[in-house]
Amino acid sequence: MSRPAVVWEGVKRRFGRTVALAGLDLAVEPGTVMGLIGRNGAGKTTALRLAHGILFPDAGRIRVLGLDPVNDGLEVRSRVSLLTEESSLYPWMTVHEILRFGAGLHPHWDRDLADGLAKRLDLETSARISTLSRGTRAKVALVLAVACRPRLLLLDDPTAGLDPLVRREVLEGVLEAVPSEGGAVVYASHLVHDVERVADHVAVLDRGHLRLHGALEGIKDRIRKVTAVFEDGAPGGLSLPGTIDSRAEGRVLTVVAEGVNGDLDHSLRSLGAREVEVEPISLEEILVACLRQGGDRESEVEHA
Amino acid sequence: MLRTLLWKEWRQLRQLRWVGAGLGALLPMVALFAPRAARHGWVPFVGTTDPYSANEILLEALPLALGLGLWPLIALLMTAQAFSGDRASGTESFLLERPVSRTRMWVARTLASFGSTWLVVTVSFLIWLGITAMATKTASGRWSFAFEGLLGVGPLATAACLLGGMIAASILNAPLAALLLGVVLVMVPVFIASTLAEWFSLATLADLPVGLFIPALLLVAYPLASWVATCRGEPAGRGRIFRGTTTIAAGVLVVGLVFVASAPTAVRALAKRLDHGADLSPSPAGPSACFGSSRQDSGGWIVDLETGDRIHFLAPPFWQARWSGDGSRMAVVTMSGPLGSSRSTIRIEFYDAQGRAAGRALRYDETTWTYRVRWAGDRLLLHEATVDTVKVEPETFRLRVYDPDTGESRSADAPGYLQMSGLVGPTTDGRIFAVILEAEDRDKDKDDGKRGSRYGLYPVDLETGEIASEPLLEDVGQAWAAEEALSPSGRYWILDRRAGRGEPRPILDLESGEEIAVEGLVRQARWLNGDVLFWFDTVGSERRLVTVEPGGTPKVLRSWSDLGVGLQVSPDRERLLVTAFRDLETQSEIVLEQQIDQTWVFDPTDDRWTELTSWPAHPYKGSAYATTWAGPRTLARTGPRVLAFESLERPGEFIPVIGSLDD
Repeated sequence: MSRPAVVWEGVKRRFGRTVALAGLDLAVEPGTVMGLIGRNGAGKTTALRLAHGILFPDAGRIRVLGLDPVNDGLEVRSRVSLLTEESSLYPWMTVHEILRFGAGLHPHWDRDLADGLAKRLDLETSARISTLSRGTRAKVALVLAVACRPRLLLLDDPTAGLDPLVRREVLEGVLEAVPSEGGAVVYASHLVHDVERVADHVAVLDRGHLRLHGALEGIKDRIRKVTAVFEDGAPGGLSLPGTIDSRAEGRVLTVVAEGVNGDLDHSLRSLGAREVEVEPISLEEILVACLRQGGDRESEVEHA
Repeated sequence: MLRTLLWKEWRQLRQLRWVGAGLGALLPMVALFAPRAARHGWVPFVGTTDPYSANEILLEALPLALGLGLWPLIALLMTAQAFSGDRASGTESFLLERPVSRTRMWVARTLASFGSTWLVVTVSFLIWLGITAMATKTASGRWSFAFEGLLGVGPLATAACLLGGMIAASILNAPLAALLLGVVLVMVPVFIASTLAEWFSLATLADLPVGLFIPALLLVAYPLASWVATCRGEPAGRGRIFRGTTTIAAGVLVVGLVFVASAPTAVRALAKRLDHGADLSPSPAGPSACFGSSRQDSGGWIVDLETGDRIHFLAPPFWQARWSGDGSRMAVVTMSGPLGSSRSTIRIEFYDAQGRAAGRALRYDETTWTYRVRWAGDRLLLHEATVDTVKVEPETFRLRVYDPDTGESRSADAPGYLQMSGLVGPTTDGRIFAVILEAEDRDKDKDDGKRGSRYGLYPVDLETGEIASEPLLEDVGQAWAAEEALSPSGRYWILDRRAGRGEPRPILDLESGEEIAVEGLVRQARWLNGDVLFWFDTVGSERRLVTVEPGGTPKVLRSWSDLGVGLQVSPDRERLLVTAFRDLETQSEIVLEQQIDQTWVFDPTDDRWTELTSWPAHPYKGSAYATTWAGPRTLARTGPRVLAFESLERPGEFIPVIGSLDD
């Protein structure tokens, strides 16, 4: 059995009074692209920075490629790249200088890969970073992140704010760079469509809690939207098997549920549903359902 | 990798280097042209009639501006930019996200900021040197002032700012805030140093308070704190401020501990220095003596006369160490505090011959001064004054009788219209007298030594401290010298009568009231027990030791040609120490250098002269070496960094107390 690329075990982290991660348990297998989705402030960035050894956990344990990022930070960072939305590039350097600077800092730097990628992405190496557009800076950051041939790539919304063409170029570059055998990508984003395009596994984070995770196709197969029509108005406050989210509007009750089978249909009909329709659901809708459910739970806790 | 990091840090400070060097070039130019412009009245704050010269500005103002202004500022700016610039501009994470050791980053930033600063310092110094050399023609003395500033104080201030700046910038994100904190942190050791130097001024090394330079250790703690803040803990920086401030606090603690550990050693080392020999307080009966350096601020010891062992250390400052008549107890006035502090209140402490506390200390408040201390049997007679703390001068005088066994004391004010000048005694039957100036002559005593003042000798009641209303006798002369005038039994008094130097004086018999004429008796006469008087008179180039018993005929004991002679009475008043010396260098009647030729002890009971070995062993130019009494039958041989005892029982055999006799 192969070793997971990244494992978070009961990881907690606070920033002052704000809980960023409240006991994250998640594993990313090698050869997979894990989409880490959630709203802003869900804990995605914290999870990635903890895995990169830039932050230390308050509790719990992290293993990255079998290493402890707290104690083996240098080793972890030599095998793992982190590509962020606003990559911190020195504005006074030229593209050539920053690539040369990056090469001087990395033991596994692949100069040919860097040069080839820079050429393919149409980077003007004599241009100063401060004069580049946001998209071009993202491309420079991409070259810096992948030219060291990482075994694990941590992407923290690297395409946010970029135009669709650049987003596509960056994503393709990322996927090409990671070794097909044993390599892994963790792609944190709130752009569900981007994640859906590249990820084969997803995890939904909300306010530091993991709401859902698994193989993308499996999740899509498991989770369905069930629409039930009642004669005298849909009942509220139901406790139905596998329910992630439910909403009653007039006579229609919409339920997003996991593992939809005859039990749910039977339950709804026994409650007086005249019609019950089951249909597939998009990842975005699943995310919304998860986040709404999480929000309701938080509200319940707060009200309690 | 370090080279790569260094390249980045060095490039990042390029603008600051240019600006610093530009300022360094501009300032001498301004100094050159501002005085000329000032003559035309174009420069604010500088008058047209007496403008500063280019010389003054280039050689005095500019070194200060560079050494204490520009260079420290550049140091703070460089470190602020190097250590917090990336955080402030949001580029810190570039390096943190790469496999780069934070220690290497720290080393690169340190090398770049330090190197850039010293480069600017060197360039601006050379520019100043070149322009000043071309523009001024001046004496070397003014150059040395400038060089002291630019090569001494300036680099020191710059180095301090580099160290303070790097820790400030390591814990703060904003470079400008780091710059200000750097100034504060540089001031911290300065503040600690000035406080320690002021409070513990007597713990010194090379004549500087140790508290003045030990806080410099804190500057060593700053880079450590910077490293701990940036290279330990979470890379993203959580706990950085805590780690930095904790390390600084630990540095402050270490400074405190080093000071506490070293100050007592420094105090004792200074007491051993004996730059000008030891100042001894011999006991009239032994078996111990007390000595301190002739510097009042350097402490001393109670010493065993037999073995030379230093029994008990007396912390500085102390003065008026006085042994009781039987030698069993010593009283000493002290203001000593811990670790070389002299900020304690004045108190009188008591010790026995073994250095143990032997009585209840008498503590004064700041409104009381103690002038004189005399033992009267088991009690102490103290001449005190109440002080006007605003004018810092005595207001009223009194005598206090203090019993160190019980702590009880009685005091009586001296008559308001009189000013006490001294205490005389105790006599062999235990009497003590107060020498009191008459009011209208108070100030003349110190002003006109020849004319002198009118004073009276008043008996003191040793039970109450009260001074008798009527004097036992009245005299005119130098009251401060009256303490030697009374014979040991208290029967005879050498009258002064304003006699000039070398003029004969009569002796007054206090029992009969008769005056006894003594041919050739001079003021520097000394009494021994049995009321026998000794003095030197001069006949031509001959100095003669003369003795007389009141009413008898003076007898010449010994004479010396072309030599100076000195006379010291043993503490038990039984014998004399006679020293013959040669004046090597004189100037306006002041002897600057003497060479001691010979030393004898004269015992009048059997008219025996014991010639002592030379001290020091080889004739020594200068009067720094001396022989004096350490006890009734023990001599002290002292000089710079050396003190030894010599018993009269074993002459020639030195017992070392301080230093080596071979030095």
